[in-house]
Amino acid sequence: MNIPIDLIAHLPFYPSKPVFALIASSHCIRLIIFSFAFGLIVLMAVLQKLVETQEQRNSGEKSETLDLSSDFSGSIVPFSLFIIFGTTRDSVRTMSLLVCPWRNRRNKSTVGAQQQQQDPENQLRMTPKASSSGNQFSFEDMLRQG
Amino acid sequence: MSLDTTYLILEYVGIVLLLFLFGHCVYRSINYTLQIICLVAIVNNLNESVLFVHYGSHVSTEAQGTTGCLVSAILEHFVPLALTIMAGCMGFNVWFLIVRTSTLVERQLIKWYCLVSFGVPLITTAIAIILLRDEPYWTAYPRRYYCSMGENDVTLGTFTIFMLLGAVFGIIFTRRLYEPGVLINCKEPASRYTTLTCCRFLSPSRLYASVHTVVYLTRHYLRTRRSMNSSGSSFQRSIVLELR
Repeated sequence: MNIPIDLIAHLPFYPSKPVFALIASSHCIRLIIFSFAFGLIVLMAVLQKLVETQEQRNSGEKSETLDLSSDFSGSIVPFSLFIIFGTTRDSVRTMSLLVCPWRNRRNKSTVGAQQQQQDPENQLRMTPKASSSGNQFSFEDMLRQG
Repeated sequence: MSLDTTYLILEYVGIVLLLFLFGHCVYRSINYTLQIICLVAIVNNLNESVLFVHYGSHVSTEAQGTTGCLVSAILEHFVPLALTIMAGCMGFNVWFLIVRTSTLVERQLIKWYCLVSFGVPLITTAIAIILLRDEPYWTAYPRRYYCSMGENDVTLGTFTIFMLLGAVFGIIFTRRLYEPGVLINCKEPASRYTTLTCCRFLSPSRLYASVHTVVYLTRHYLRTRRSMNSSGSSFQRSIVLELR
């Protein structure tokens, strides 16, 4: 597997584990996109104040487009936040949990069990191993196991 | 659909999306800075829509001089600034944890982020109110949907400049993430001749370099994830792959 070594070296936790490098890289991609998108939104909000001259302010003449973009800049922020940070697989899971919790429960109890029975390899993968911390999905234990 | 209806729908759908994002982060105990940003953005959306809900499309004619307009103008001076500085803090946080390899965690730093992102707007808003105390209604005037402080030199110095500084602050810190050697190993033959490696030297093409970096990082992330999945990595691992 081709994992950049420098990325792992710069991580504060579990530096020998490449899986955290991927988490960080995914987070960084989203953060870079967000910072530029947010910069554009801020520019939309303040462009009117920067561009308009003192004479225009005194006479009350306003650019309709700049005025409108400044008004709408605040309502774009939630959408950019949701598109960038709310589209992870984790948040899709939370969404499905919210929208149809009963379906989730059914999947867990019946469909998941059927799949496990059909696929012995998958069954091995899905079976949590014994954990020293008591939490069967603990990241620490998972990483200790490699 | 009229512009006013579109505006109202955008504001309230935005609130729902923010509530979901906030709930998701709280439920999974992740992204504490993002949780604060969501809450501040909800307050911002409510502030920008409450006058429009009350007065309808007559905000610009009927809200002038009312207490609601004054409060809306002050909040419009305070909240977007807090939001921008908090977004900058989010960039700083990842830079501090990954590039500086700090042993502190986000939960320990969040109180300082809150202090900065609410303290600075509080000071600038107080300065603006003191400087504009002799003006009628502190120059608060109704726009199309909400009220705002007048466009004068005081608001330029206490709002606009700080908004731009906050946005640049975030971009600077996230920019450090795609410098050579931080996220991508430059000694790799595949990335040696990319614009990513050259972005330090070619300052006019930095925007292009940053777009290229995002594309490169995304491709790298997807390729590695695919190779991990096809090599029989466990289900638990694929959960860990997702953004936390």
